[in-house]
Amino acid sequence: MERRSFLAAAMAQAAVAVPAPKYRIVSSYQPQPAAGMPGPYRGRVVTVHAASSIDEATERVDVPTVAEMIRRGITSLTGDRDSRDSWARFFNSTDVVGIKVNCSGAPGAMSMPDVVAEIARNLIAVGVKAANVIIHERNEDQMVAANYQSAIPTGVQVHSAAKHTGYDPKTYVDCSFFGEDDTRSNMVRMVTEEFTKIINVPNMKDHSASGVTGCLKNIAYGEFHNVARSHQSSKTNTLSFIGTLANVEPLRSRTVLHIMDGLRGVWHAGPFSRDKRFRFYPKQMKFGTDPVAMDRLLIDVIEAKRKAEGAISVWDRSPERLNARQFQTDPNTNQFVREPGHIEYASGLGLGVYDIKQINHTEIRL
Amino acid sequence: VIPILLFIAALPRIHDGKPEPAGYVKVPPPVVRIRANQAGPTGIPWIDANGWRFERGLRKAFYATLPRGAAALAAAEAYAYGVDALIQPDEADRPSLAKMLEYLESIDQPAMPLMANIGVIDDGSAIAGEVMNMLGRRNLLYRVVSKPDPKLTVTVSPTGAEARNPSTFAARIREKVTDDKRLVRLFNASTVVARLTGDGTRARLHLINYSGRPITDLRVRVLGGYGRVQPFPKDVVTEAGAVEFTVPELATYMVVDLEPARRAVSLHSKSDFDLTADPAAAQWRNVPAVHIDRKFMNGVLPGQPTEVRSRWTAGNLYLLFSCPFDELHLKPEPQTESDTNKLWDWDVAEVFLGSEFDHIGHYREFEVSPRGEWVDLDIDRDHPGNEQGIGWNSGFVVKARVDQARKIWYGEMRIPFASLGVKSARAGVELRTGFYRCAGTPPNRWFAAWSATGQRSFHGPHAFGRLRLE
Repeated sequence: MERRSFLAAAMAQAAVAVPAPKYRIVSSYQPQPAAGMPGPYRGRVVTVHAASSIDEATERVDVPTVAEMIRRGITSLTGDRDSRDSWARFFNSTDVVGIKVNCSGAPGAMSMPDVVAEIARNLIAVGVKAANVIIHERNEDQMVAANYQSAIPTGVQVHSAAKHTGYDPKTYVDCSFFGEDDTRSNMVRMVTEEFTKIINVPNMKDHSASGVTGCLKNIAYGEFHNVARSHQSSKTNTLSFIGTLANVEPLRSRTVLHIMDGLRGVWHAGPFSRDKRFRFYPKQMKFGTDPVAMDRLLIDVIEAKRKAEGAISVWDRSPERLNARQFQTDPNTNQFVREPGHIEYASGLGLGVYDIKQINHTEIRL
Repeated sequence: VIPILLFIAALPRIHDGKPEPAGYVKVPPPVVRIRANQAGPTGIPWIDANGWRFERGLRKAFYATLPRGAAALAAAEAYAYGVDALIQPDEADRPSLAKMLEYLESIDQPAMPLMANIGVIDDGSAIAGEVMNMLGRRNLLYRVVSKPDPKLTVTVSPTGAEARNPSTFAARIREKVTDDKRLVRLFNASTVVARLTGDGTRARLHLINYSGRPITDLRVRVLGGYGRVQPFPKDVVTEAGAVEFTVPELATYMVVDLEPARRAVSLHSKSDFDLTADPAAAQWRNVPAVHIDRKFMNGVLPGQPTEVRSRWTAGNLYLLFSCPFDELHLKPEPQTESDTNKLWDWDVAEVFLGSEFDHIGHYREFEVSPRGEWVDLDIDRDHPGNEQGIGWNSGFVVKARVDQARKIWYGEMRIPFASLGVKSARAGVELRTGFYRCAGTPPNRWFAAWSATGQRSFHGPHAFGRLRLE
């Protein structure tokens, strides 16, 4: 076993063995049978690669290529010939669809506006009213920086939770991690009171606390407030908190599709990385209803890039690597003891398949 | 120097003179200090608050030469702690200070005892003061005691080595109290300090926002069997011996009044009876009354209250209003054969009755005037465009009588249960209920409620009490 694999196995075991904090989940919403995560395509992931999807020099997205990537990805996932049939499996004209983007590192790292716009066009094509398509993120300043309005179809809405409807006081996870005063993380009120369905559109990124940030992290920390409290000093509780949040109703039942934007990614200093030298261009998109399987494959993407760059593994838990001051510039340091084991933890909650041998992965190259 | 007294003595006052007022202790301005990227013991914004000084015993405070933006907050802070305060505002703050003083005057009422989880035996030391500051900052409610008080969850004497880090000490006290037993918890805000007073039945919560900007969706949990939250009815949840509610927006300061839900009973009668509008009649003589004794928005209504009695039979609900008056305000040319639209513009007694606990916006309104005019309405607050409720006819009947000698008018109603959606009237059935009174001649018109609504209308079903058939 090579050192990296050994580290991953050993550290994952060590991480999972730590007892989870005591969570109290408050929600009046009931699970909808067979809906949401992991969904009808449990353990299945489709990856579409396209070298022409983005120009690395200008970072300009080729919209026709993206449209074709989405068409191929969604039809391969569902087995339909016509992509409208594929979209219609998930959405209809009565739905109010929230598109959960990730733009915490905007404009340098984010779910690309052209990708999000193409998803919105596909929703409208199967009868979802444009006004019932709501692109959203928690923070207003990040949404402004991402500038989705520049690309999306007329009528589609763009909202931040902070400015739009705030957070639902009756749907939350209560837990004291470090004796913080406010021990509640409330769900975005749009999720509980407006959306009937959610499409999760994360961006491929390294993450200082959770190791990588993909489907699970984006839908969990991105649809609840007061989550940064789960980190303090070098300790982070992302191991169990991410899956716990993602599993709360109605978020779990309403998140019916995940499209991971990997045209451009971040291989170090995520999620906010402003340093262009840590960006990379996987030029791919992943499709699925199982966030665990998709994130399991994301680990490999980020790890491969970090290995190629000579950076330490996201599984590295060495105390001597901890250096919060240098983390933003030195890829061989950590800000926190990272917890990529959060993906396996979420699998244990029933959110999807973690075992790589059990994942049905189809790769398409355009 | 004679301070300028703008308002009643209990409220903070503006001090325009230059010499310091005798007998007053100068206190620092209340402010928040947000120091981004600086290490701190708490990880949340630092607040300079004077609450601990006031709890320690300072009763006459001088907020001297306040920086811009601090005057209204200073007035609120002093009022919340019941301190006699003089305030020297920045000139630019005079309008906001005047607005705050106006608000304080509008909510002013006799002080109630301080409620607390923690007793602090204060030795007067700097460490003890800072421990109290940290407790207050974290909304760990405390009061100063001279010896351990068994009524409190815990009593501490912050003199030993363990108190040398007041923040850590406060955190340990929190662990001893436990979050479930805390009288007040605040969520979604890190710059709000709470103070709770109460008399064992009702309570008043003071919320002071030190941030200098409005806070939205502040979630509050108060331990105790309170059923009504004024003026914040939004998202009220009562469970596990506590009430939770949302303050949609907190500017600088607000008080929240917590009261038990109002309850009335209707006594059973085996048979229906004729309406008499007479509380001395046999069917009414021994029936206990509840009182319409609140200003309809909030606060105690001075003077003799309106009494309401109730009885019920298998088919009907009876209500008798006894309405003291100084002067009647009556509609010219009354008619009683049909209902009278806008009867509420004149003297009336009213009852709102709802039988749907999962659709509280749907209820029925019944009114009677001193001369027996009446109106009945089917109200659906969730569908306000529905005009059919105006023409609705319940089949209720009324009788009214004016006793000019005693200056009381009486109005009696017989309301068919069928019109209320009550399929089977029996002991134990409860109705969501509001009793109201419109009275007085313009411009001295007044409006009263049994259960105040906290809004500019009687139509606040969140505030209804309960009428139980017994």
